[in-house]
Amino acid sequence: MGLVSFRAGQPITSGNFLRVTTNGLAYPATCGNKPGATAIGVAINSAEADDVVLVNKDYIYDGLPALTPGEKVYLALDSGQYYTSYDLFDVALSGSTLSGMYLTELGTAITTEKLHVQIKLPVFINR
Amino acid sequence: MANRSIFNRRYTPFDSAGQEVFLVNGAGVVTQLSTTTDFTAGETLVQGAVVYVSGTQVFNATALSGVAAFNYGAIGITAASGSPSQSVSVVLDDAVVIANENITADTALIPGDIYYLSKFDGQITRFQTASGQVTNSGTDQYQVSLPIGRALSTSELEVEIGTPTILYE
Repeated sequence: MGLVSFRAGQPITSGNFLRVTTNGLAYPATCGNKPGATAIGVAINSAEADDVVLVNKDYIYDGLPALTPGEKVYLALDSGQYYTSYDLFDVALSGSTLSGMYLTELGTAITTEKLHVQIKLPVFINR
Repeated sequence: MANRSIFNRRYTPFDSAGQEVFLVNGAGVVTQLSTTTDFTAGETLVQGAVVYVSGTQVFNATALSGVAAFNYGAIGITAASGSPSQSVSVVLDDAVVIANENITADTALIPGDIYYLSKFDGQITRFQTASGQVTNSGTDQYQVSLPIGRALSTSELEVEIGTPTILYE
């Protein structure tokens, strides 16, 4: 099933990529640490804490700006955000003070605003 | 009680003669519950061709050794044939019919088998066929191993595109 719903653990903006914690709450994901990098999908609606947020985990999401058709999209260090290419992930990794970051592929851009969501497991990349 | 966003709808409170009710404002749906999408054919495409996207156009993908990386950035399989500049539907993540001419070295799919991007434009192949293996040794000339999906029947493939593995001789 490509759509699932969660209760938000904090305010969430539509278009944020999310992770789920052990208590079942959804939070914005980040590639800066292992639990944060296990993304489950992208928020379809904005939600306040304790609101229901619907998550697209395996369909086309329309509304992510500045995508490059054909490019893979990766989870970013900034909570809930994404990098539009591997090169941008690499630049962020080089500029960070972390020992490494988790490369989580979120899907493939099929237009400048549409992402085919296909989330892969995170892979640790040393800096 | 504050505004509520539930699924794809926005609910706003309204006082109706002392009774609080919620109005459905119907915020825009941003999820497309289908993974078949229309593109413009960048070249002549047969039905069942594996394609990559460049801008708004789709082209035959290939895993041939020596090609630029975008050539094996497969996104899906054409649901119908298309001529250059025509609209063509591409199945990104669902079952699709594969034309016989798009199966390398075979005349039909083998149910249950995993199929990879072929070195021949737009085609899929089993790992080992009469045309060779999906390797970069000898005359096989594959640059990547890219799973495209699993055969459901002799003519239908469940599209589930994997991550390309670069092959070295």
